[in-house]
Parts: sequence; structure tokens; C-alpha cells
Amino acid sequence: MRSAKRIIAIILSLIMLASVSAFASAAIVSPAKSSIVYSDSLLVSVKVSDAENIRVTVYEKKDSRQIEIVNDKGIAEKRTQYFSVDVKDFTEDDIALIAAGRLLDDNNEPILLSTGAAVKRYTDFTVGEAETFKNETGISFYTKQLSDVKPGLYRVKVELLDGDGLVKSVSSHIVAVKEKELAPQEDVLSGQQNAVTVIQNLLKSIFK
Amino acid sequence: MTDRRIESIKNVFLVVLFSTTILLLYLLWSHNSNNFSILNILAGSGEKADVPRLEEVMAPRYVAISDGSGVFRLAEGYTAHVAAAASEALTEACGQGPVAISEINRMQYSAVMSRYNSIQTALCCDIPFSDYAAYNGVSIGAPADQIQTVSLIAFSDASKESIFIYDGPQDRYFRLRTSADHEYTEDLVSMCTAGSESCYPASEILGFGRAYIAVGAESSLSEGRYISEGAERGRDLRTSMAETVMGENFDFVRRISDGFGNITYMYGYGQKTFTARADGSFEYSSELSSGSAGDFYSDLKTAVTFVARCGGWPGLGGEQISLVLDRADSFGEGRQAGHTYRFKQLLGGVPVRGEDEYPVEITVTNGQVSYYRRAVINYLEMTWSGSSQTAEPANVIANNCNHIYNVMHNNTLVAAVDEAFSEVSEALVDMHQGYFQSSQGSALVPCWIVRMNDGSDFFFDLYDAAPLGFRRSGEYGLE
Repeated sequence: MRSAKRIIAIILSLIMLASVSAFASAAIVSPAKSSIVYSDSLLVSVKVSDAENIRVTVYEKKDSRQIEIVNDKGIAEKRTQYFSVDVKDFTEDDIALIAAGRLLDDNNEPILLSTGAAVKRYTDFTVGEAETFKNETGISFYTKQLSDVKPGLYRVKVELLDGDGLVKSVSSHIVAVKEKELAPQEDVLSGQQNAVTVIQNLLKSIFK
Repeated sequence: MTDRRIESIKNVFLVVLFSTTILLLYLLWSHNSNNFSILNILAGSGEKADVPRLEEVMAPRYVAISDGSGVFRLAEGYTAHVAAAASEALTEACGQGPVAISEINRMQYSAVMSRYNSIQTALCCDIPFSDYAAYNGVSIGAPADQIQTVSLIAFSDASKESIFIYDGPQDRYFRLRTSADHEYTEDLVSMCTAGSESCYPASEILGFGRAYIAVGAESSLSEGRYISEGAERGRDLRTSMAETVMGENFDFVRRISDGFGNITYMYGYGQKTFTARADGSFEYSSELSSGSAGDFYSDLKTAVTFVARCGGWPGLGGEQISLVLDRADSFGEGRQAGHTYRFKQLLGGVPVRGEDEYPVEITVTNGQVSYYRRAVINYLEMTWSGSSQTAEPANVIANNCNHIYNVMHNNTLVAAVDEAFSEVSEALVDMHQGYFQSSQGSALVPCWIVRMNDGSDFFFDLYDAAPLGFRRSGEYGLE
């Protein structure tokens, strides 16, 4: 019994170590996790360390509703209609809740977004083609700019592949793309010469 | 009676001669007294040289435009007028009323530049702010003392009454809040032709750094060959330059030829020497004088005028060659003070760099030229291919980060890749397409020109990111 426990512990440790190193080999730099982009273009940047292959896929997450359509024979049919997620009022916390994937909290109550709506699961639709990228050695970056991106919810998925093209690990970042005009107009220049700046300058002058 | 008349006439002549002498001395010494030298007299008026305006040779390193979407585009083509307009805007705004100067941090600066319509003009080199303000008539007063150097001037619709200055050597950002709103952002953007490539801050692509890096860059540059100006213009250029610095008659000048093909002209016992080298370069040096040191702009004017008179200023006649200021360093030791200016060449608007010295390097000491080296080239063969994908700029940095790190630190020990990468990314100042001037086969190789914050320059093949060469900051005489 004791030896079985020991073997299980060793196997679990090895799996965890492999996972850590695998995730460390490919990291999504842009878009940041659960972030909001106010633009009609989306930058995808993935850092690949060591000799690894990755596959990058961008999805648009779409909401759905059931509609009734009368066919040629006059019979009403139920169909699913998909549409872009209205992210106009989403906050970064909302996106993080959606990314977590949980619909119910510990009390089995629906988890609510800041808009008051419940967290939903959406359907992924591929944007463009999935692309593979091979890093021979050291550090390399997969970079791509997607243009003419409509407002909505998007997921960037990076799969780490082995030599046979099988998936070793997966990581994703979800991002909300909003129209540029919706960017908050806060005064970013307020609170200048704050304590952080003063300390930074002090340290720079000491260690110059 | 007759004797008295003769004496009177002699007295009149003496008075006239004495007055004429005083007048001539006044005329000789009153103009450009800081630059008065026997050289100017000996050289005579000669042919009147076309001298470019300082604004023409101080083309900005880049002009970055944002429409508020977080994507930046670099202006293409001629941009010297944009830098001049930015200076005029600063002067005008500061002259309209009191100006409040405050410091902002990098995050705030990045936010106002990326989230709003903005334009950033990176000056050709770091300029002492006191000299800049004096030259452009910028009147702010004592609060401006905290700004030591101006490296970049920026405008943003985030704050239409503000102008932003970046002090590169101190790595500090300043906000100059004027008394009224302006439309400088829109005005300056309208003067530019934005390129088609999208650029992002290095922090968004690499995870670190503030330099702008293109995504999916393309280029039509292809290999060519060059010829030195000395070889192309031959003896005529050598003779005209020698006459300019030594005088047309070569009085007290010796001519020395060596077995390698170098020809040296020496005035007196070496007070001035001028050497035409076999490789097509020219070098002039002069003993130091006891004049007074000038500021950045007066010394630059002296330097530009000298280069225009001695060899000519390429590009003024509409040819595709031109010289622009790329680096300036000040020095001051004892009674000797001045500036060294280094100019890079542009071929069809594309910068040309190499591991060797700059094509033009000139030192002004105590207001007079004490050293001048010229190695200008012209293209011999140039082909323009269709547009093709370059090596991804992010991977040019990533794949060569260890090489860059080792050169910057001047050691061969292999640092941890992540450590080297993060430091190199943070140290990156800018990267542009250009030509690498190779000494092998007189080739012009399309390259990425990468500048780091310690002044080092690195050159990588434009299409396969292979290292072509580098030049450490120490080799420019920088700290």
C-alpha cells in the first residue's frame, strides 16, 4: 500500500513538472489574459522557448438563441442562431469569470456578470486558419496582427505539439474587442509625480 | 612752401593709410569673431558652397503616429519638416503664457500616446535642452532646469494643452502644460505620410521594452554595390578639398606620398594636415586654437558649413544621396571644449551604416573645426525588387539576444537566455530597415539597424536575421 502511494506521488510529481515546463515553453504575450482591446485590430504574440512546435488558433466566441423557422413544407423547425457577444459593458472581471468557465457558485447559484446577466457558455468559431510555428532553438515569437476585427469576445488558443503533432498542452487567453470610441476617457495624467515616480527617480540617481 | 605742401600731402597719406588699416582690421575681426582664423583668410572666398539649413540635416530618427487604437505607424519619406514644425509648436505654445512642467511615468506616457490620437517625433540625437530652448526661442524659465536633454517631442489629444518631452539619458518623461488648447497633433499628423506597417511597443510583442517594433514587415530592398566618393570623383575632389583647407596656393604646405597610395598635405610643422587615403576617404586635423567654445547649434553650424565647403554636401542638388545627423557628443577638458558630430548617409531615403566610422565625422573645438573625416559613398549598382517578407523584427531580437547581450557587456560568458532577452528588450531603442555597408566586395546588404540604449548599433540581415556586424558605444567615444 505504502509503495503504491509512493509510486502515485512520483507519477503525479512528474506530470506536474512536465506540465510546468510545457507551459513555460509557450506563453501568450498578447493579448493579455482577460483583457479589453479598443481597436479594430488584434495583435497575437506568443513567446516560444526551447525547440518546440505550437499551433495557434483564434476563435470568436458567439452567443446563441433558438429560433423557429417555417420550412418549405410549412413545418416550424427550431434552429440555433449564433451572433457576436455584446461586450459593450463587459469589464475585465467579467471576462475573467467567463474564462474561468464556471456557471454556478459554491451555493449553486448562477454567477453574475457586472451587467447583471448570468455567465454563459459560448460557442467557438474559428477566425481564419490555425497556424503552426516551429522554434528551432532559444527564444522565438509567433506574431500576427488580425485586421478588421469586429467587436466581440475572442479566444486565442496555443497548443504545444510533440514531434508527431499530438497536443501536449493547451493555454488560452480570452479578450474582448470593443470599438475604439468606447475607450474610457479617464484622465490618465492625473496624479502625476506620484510616489512611485519619485522613488523610481531616487533609485535611478543612487544607482546611476 | 613746396616743402610744406609735400609734408601736408604725406600727412594726409599717412592718415588715410592708418584709417584704412583700422577699418580693414575691424572688418576682418568683427564678423564671426568666434570662428575667425587664418584658415578663413587663406582659403579666400573660393566657390560659394551650398550649405544646408540645420533643420534639413537634423531629420528625426522616426515619427510615430497613433490613431488611438494602440497601433502605431511610422511616417515615411522626408520628415525633417515635421521635427521643425514640432519645435515651432513648442516655441509658440510656451510663448503664449505660463507653462507648468511636471513629470509623468512611462505608463502614463504610453497611455496618452496609444489610447489617443498622437504623434511622437524622435529627434536625430539627444540635444541639451538649454541649447535647444535658446536656439528655438523656447521660454519656460527655471522649472525647465529639470529637463537636461530633449530626445523626443510628442503631442496627444489626451491633453491638447500639453506637450510631452522625453529625456533619454535620464529616462524621464515630462509634461509641459501650456495655457491654451492647441491642434498640434492634427496639424503635425497632416504633414506626414504614414507607412502601411503596423508597429507596437516592444512590451506588447516581446513582453518588455518601449521601442516600436513592426509586425509582418515587408521590404523591396535588395543587394547593391557602392563606390567611394574619392574613387568616383578622383583627383578633382582631393585637390579641391586640399585647396579649401590649405589655401589655393599651398603656401608653406608640403605634399607627402607614401607607398600605399595615401597623399598627405602638411601645413608648416603639422599645424594642419590633410590626408587623402587610398581607400577613398579623407581626413583633416588642425591644432587646437584658443577660441571660445560654442553651444550645440553654433558648433553644428560651423561643422555643416565646413563640410559643405570642403567636399560639398551630398543631396542638396536633388541627388538621392544625403547626409543627416545621427550622433552628437560633447566634450570638455581643461580649456578645450566642443562637440563631435557624426552624420549617416541616406540612399534614396534609406540609411546606410557599417562597422567602420561614420561617412562624415567632424569635431569642433573652441568654435573651430579640429578634426574632419569624410568617407562618403555612392551607389554603383542598385536593384529594386518586388516587396517581400522580411525576417520578423521580434525574432531578429529574440534569436540574437545572447549575441547582443554579450557585445553590450563585452564578455563571452553565456548568460541565461531569459536574463539576456529581458535586458536586451528593455535596452532596445529602435530598429529600422537600412543598408549594411560591407567592406567585402563593396556590397550594400539590406539589413535591420538596431540601436540599443547604451549607444551600440547592431546590423542583422533584413531577410534571414543573420548578424552582419556591430559597433559598440565605446567605439564612438561615448561613456
